[in-house]
Amino acid sequence: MSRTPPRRGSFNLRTRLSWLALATLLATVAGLVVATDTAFAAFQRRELAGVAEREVERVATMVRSGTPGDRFVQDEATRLQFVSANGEVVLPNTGAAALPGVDAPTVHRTPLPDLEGTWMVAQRPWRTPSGLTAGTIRLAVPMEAALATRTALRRLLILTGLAALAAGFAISYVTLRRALGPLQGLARQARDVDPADPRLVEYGGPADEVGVLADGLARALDGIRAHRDAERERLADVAHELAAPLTVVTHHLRRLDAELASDASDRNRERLRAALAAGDELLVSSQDLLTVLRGDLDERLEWHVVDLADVAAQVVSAYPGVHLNVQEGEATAILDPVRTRQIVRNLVRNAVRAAGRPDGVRVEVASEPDGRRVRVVVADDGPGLTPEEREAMFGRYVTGGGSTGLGLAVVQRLVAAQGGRVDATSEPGEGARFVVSFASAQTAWADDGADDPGDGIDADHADGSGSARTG
Amino acid sequence: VTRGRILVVEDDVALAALVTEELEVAGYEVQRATTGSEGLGEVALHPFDLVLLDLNLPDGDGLEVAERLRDDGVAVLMMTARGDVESRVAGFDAGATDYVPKPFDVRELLARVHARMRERVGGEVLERGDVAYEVETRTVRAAGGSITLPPREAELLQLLMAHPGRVFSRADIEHRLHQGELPASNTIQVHVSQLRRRLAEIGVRTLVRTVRGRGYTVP
Repeated sequence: MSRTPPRRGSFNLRTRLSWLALATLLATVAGLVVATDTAFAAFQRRELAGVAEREVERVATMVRSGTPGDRFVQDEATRLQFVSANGEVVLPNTGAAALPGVDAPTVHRTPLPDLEGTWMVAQRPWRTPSGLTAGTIRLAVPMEAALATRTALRRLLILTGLAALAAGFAISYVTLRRALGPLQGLARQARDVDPADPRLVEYGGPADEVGVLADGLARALDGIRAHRDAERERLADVAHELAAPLTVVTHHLRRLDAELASDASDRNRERLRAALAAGDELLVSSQDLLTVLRGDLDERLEWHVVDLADVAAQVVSAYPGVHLNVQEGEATAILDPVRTRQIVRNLVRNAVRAAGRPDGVRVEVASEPDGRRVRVVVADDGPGLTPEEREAMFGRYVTGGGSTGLGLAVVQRLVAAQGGRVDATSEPGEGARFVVSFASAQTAWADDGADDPGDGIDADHADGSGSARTG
Repeated sequence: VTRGRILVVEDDVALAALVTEELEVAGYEVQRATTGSEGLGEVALHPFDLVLLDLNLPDGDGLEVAERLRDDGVAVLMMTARGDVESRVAGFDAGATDYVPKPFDVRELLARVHARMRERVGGEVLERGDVAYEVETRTVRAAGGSITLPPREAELLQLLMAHPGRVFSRADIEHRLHQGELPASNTIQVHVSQLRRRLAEIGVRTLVRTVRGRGYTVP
């Protein structure tokens, strides 16, 4: 199953949601501005129209009832026209003058003031007190003030809208950031989950949807871990069940081999030895399997003064043909002898497999010139490190690289548990070279008048930190 | 004359037979039991120098048997699946009792038994380089003369010389030598330093060594 990881730097959820919020806000504010403006304009027209209608009605009534000398309108800004039946403006009244009490009014040929555009106009029939219809009374109320108010209102609306927009965007950004921040943290945690030990670091966020998600994820990982542990335990039991009779089988084969020394034919002895070798190999594999399956448990290491040359010689004796080169100088360290043998044996076994024959493998034991570190080098002339071997040595967990991966994972674990270092190098066509090194016993002696090892109460537990790491 | 009496408590008959055979070949007198209660019964009837105990027994937890044996002062060497001791027994004093992880190589098991018996059985001379230690008389002999050790220091030296190269932490030594009683925290250190002084009198200076962060050893 392969998945494409999300592109980094592409639109993320937070930005997208912020843009969405911004768009929504923008639409809302724009709608509000337009609606308010329209409604206000309608309201203004209605008000002004009402004023104009009332005024023109009042003027018409005054004219009909014939009260000459009265001012028709008080407001200087209001315009009043008396238009004769044939369309002539009889009195372009500014409202200040009174209408002469005549039936046949004088015609003033002054131009019509423009009563369109910014004026609200209302008109009534012009009836004289004698009941004649002389023309039309037109009254115009100025709209400039109303328009100025409307413009001011519109400006205010837009400014308020923009401020609301900015505030809304900022609030939604911050809110989303706070809400999605934990999600991002959770994603980071999920990405960093160690498959060898699947668990979430404590989630400290609020108990919101992200909190619920974190809880669900943590539960899922707990379940996976419990399931895996149970499987491992079952597998370990099986490995153990297989190993017990195997111990008996190999032991009897070994005794048989020793006792039949001269009696058996060469062919039978060969068969016996092959069976014994296969049995030993199975035992070794079951030990490796148990180390990996139960390795998470803090295994008790038993510390000894271990001579790496002895360990290498013991291991190599089981692989006739492998070259052993022990350099001058003592190569002792404080180690667990059984685990150290397991380390060297796995490296040699792996190298013999890689080289395809024992004499393509060279084992070298040496101590550094200053005597502070000792090392075992296992080199082969095989095809070099495979990706599985690399993964087993340097990966965080065993991916299942077959028995080779298992053996090297065991090496990696056991070296680390004893405070050592393992390096693997490989040149194409030159084979692989594994170097395991530990602080020498020389660096561990504390005899200069010191009777206190400083081991504390837990010194018998393997914490791997006892020997100093150099380099 | 046998090298000591050993009881093997193991329910896997084939494995028990194998271990018995090897131990007998090596010169030990061996009794067998297949359950914990049978094992405890044998121990009640006959004296044993060492009990080889499987932790997975058909009639219950082998650890209980181990604890009862230890309370009776019987040396126990547990045979168990790798990691079992740590996983199953948080409170168990693993330091007081050795264990051999299964699957084991029989040769390895024998080496353990020999070391354990050297530690328990008297009438033997433990040697390391030109230093010889006679268990029965608590006497150390070296090129520079001989010296008799007081009991506590003698036990300490016997433990270390019985397991040459093995590093014992102070806790290990306390468990082995003081079985149960809690000595003052620096007792072991005092014993080591006195033992060293006495050994130095006969010219033995690098027999007992301190391993930084780990404990003491006779390399």
